[in-house]
Amino acid sequence: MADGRNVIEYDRVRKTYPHKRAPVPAIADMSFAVGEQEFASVLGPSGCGKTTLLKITAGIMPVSGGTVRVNGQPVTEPVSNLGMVFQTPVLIKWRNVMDNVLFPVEILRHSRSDYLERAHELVRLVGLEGFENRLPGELSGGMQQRVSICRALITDPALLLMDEPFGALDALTREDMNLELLRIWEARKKTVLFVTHSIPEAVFLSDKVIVLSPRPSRVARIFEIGFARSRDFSVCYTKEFGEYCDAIRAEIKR
Amino acid sequence: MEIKDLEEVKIETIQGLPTRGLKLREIAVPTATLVLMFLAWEAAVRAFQISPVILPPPSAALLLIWKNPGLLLTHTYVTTQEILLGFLLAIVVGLAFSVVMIHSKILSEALYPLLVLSQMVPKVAVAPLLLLWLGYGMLPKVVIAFTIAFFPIVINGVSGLTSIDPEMLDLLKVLKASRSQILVKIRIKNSLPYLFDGLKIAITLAVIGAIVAEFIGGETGLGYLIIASNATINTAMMFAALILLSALGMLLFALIMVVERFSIPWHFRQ
Repeated sequence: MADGRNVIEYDRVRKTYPHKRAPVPAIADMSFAVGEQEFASVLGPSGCGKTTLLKITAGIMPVSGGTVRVNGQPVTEPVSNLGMVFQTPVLIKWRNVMDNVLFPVEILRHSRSDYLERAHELVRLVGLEGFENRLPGELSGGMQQRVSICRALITDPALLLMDEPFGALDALTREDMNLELLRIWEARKKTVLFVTHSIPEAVFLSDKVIVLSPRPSRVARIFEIGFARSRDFSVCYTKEFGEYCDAIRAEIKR
Repeated sequence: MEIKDLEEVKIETIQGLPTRGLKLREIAVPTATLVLMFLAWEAAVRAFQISPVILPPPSAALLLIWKNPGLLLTHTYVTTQEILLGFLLAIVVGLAFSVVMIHSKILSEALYPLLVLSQMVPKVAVAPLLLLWLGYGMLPKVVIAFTIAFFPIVINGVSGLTSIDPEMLDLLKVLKASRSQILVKIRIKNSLPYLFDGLKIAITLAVIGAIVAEFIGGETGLGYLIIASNATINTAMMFAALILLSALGMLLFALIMVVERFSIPWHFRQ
């Protein structure tokens, strides 16, 4: 998948949260890279700084040491041309689906009409056709999260950061969302950094799974997942899939 | 911290109130309760032959209103004006304060103790001073109604403007939204449900403020009417004024609820 160019590079990144008595180290020393159009997942025990890593990558949180580079540029301010999906949908309650999807366009002061067609296309892509005028309060959790994915994609960013986007969904909805995400990713090749707690989800989705150690985290091991694209759930029943999952689980337990 | 604490207390007292679409039952039940209460009052006064100086029957008070509509409505009109002017002033100044306080930490720290202080000083104690400064006209009544109504608006305004999901703030950072964009597109609308709760408290306080001011120095208004009737032991007139005052307060409260339903339908649809 990757063509050799790195979109994200972490070079000895450290993050320590200040605290009155003792500073809390979240990320000890992290170095890895994510290639262009690669789907990379970050797995690790709770509290190992996965969300911190995404915030640092987006440029909305400073590092304590080391450098993050996105497209070769050291990250010192919020990174442009980037989409972010959070653990919760974080939709604006008083805006309907369409207006939520178009929110980034407004903030960037671009013309809404230039993006209307694209917004409709995205809404169709995630199966929310007919719900364009509904308010978030009228949608299920899964539908809301799909709206937030559309919002992250509306400006067609080359880089997508996803922080456990399906963590709050039930297992069936989650599987649907995984398939949908792969469909979107294959349709408009992007670089994705995906944080998750689920080993099978990471293996199913990714080209590369980065396993982190407990806090303060380092890269414990990186697994290259060799399944061909496009994938469907049949890969989950192969012997290799189980082997990947076992190896990753063993690495996390270590 | 302090703002949060106050906020929680307020939400608990307000939550029991019906805020969804008004149903016939929601109007019928309170009306029936009220009518029953009046009937019981009437019956008790007659059955126990209570002196009308102590407790006149409600029919006597209602009859007074019926027979002197001009007099009573004039007083009601004056009080309504004082309440509304004080309330509107409280909204304007309260919102301005809220916006300033969330944008400047120093100003917030400087103003917050003053705000609390302004609330701690009993208005009854300050009212004579205000009358001394501002005369006996409408102005001191409006000012007192304002000073008392303004507090819940600021407190709830600040809570509403700042109670934004941390992930929403992260999203805004990712989008590089400017402060003014955040204020206009997110904070203001986000604060409305909180603000309406504050307005409901503020309007009842504005009523109290106006009446207290009229008690202390006034020549018109329902508060003046109560005091004047008290001096002549015209108890029925006192009750007539009280009934009108209660009706006025409830009407204003209901008005805010109606505006709330129309302006933040998304808040009730979750």
